[in-house]
Amino acid sequence: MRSRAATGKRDLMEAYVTGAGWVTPAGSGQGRTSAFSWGKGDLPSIARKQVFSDPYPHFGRMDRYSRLGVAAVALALRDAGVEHQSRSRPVALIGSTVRGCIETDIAFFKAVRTQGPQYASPHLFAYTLANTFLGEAAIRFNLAGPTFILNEPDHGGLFALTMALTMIDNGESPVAVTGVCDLNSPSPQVDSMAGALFFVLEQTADEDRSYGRLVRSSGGDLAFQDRKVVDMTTLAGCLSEGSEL
Amino acid sequence: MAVWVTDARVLTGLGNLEDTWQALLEKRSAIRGIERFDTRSYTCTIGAWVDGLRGPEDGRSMVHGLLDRLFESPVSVPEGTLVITASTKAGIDSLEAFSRGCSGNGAPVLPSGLPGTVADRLGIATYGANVSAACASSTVALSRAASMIESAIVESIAVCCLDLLTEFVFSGFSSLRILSSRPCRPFDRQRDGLSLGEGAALFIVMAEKKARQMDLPCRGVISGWGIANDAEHILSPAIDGRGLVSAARQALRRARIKPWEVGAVSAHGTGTTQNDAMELRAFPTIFGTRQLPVYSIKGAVGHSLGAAGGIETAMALQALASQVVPPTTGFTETEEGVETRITREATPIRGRSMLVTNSGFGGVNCALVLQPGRET
Repeated sequence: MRSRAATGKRDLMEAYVTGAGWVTPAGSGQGRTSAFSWGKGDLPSIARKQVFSDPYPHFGRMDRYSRLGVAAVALALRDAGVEHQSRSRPVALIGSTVRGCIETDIAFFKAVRTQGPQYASPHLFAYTLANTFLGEAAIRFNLAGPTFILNEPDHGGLFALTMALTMIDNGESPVAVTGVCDLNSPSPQVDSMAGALFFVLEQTADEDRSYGRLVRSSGGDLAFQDRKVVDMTTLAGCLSEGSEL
Repeated sequence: MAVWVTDARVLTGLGNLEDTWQALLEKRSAIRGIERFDTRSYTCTIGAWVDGLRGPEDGRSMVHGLLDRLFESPVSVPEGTLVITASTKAGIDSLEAFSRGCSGNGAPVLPSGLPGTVADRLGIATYGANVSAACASSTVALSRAASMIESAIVESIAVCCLDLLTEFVFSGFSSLRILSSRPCRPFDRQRDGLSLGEGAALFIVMAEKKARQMDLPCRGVISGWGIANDAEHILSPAIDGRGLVSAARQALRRARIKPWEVGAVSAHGTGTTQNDAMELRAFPTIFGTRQLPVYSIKGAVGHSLGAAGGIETAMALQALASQVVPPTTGFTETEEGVETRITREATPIRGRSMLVTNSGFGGVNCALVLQPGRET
């Protein structure tokens, strides 16, 4: 139950975390079966069979950035028990990224520059938008809610998390899938975080499906089960601590 | 809590907000032969661009030139204003230059760096993120700003929208074979593709209470918004326009108005066969048989991708203030059987609200309901 102060500000926004999924250099996993870790180094290559048991030929034709994002979204939805539904669902997809699809951008324009405009790949061009993988996930999982990317200055994904809570709170979507997604930097000299970590947040959830409550105070602080959350990594850590793993 | 727009400005190939509005009324177009890069290998050689932008060969991305012009006159923002931006490719011209071996001294302006760049211009410390939602980026960003203000997360947000006309983007759209070799003709029966453009827009979006405290004018009200995904194809819109219909209905519901209360629609109207056909199906689904004026400005300013919705929203606010919507430059005749009333001339608005819609790759659709400015 939410309360409203005289100023009109909500004391808190809240949602229930029901799923988590990730693909990182440390491996891939889901909240209910693995403990989260970013690890270091290069991301593993993601084959369709590692994530999807059914034939999904289109997955192999996506660029690396999209495969990473779609895989993590799939694992999060699976963890929440809401991966597949035949009917279209008003689920929001909000991704956060620092570098976006820069790897694909470089590959696309290299062909244009070195071989000529007639060799520009329409297939590759489709993936030079950071939000394309959200569209792929929307198609795969029948998600018809709001979809957009937030390019943030760091890998914390805090703005995306706040945005997801806001959308649930003001009735825009009863469910939001939100996370961070970044490939390794194209500059080998740059040591940067890479991987994808996504959460499923729901307006309401049965106790047996929920990890717990994520709240945002009117002051802007996030907390999960009374533990402060400063970014998506700490949220993942909270889930791992709270589980029996 | 009402969400006011207290300042709006644009920069297009036709000039600033006033110049662009006047040019729209006169059916003038900024679409012309491209000089910025070599188009001899392309079947399309035209686009709309802002004169005088210096490229990364001169040391920095053209993004800075756009911002220089957009911020030519000072922008006053209250303390605590958050910056969000909307752009699909930001300073991609720097990547182009780098790949051609030009060193310059400007780091590529990644979309994630844009909010900080704009915040520096405004002299404020707090910035959020860049919204990337393909051709609906601006309207999604404005909807996020309105949502955050309505939820009392923040009282004032500066929303800056921009995208450049670059060979990167041009070659991509060319490869998709959706560029017209002639200036685009939105909704026209002879339409055969879009014309790319570039531009920028800036809005100060504020809680009504804050704006009144500061005695700021109300240039318009963002009273409703909605975003929905087609969940069908990443490059083509759903034929039945289901995502656009859903987004529009959400926006109307949030604004607490009925479809018959909408006075006019600023449509996405790119001039491609598929997009325009989708909208021509979606609008009757939303509005029934009612013949309200529908227009697109892309025949005049080109399709500026992530900046499109921002420029179109600013023009829609101008339309509400004038109680007139502009003609659809490039449109002459509808397809047979289409009853949607596409404007050929400046047309009076009947009603207090306007709907602004955009759709983009990745299946995204966004709609805003705008209402006129209020006396303060």
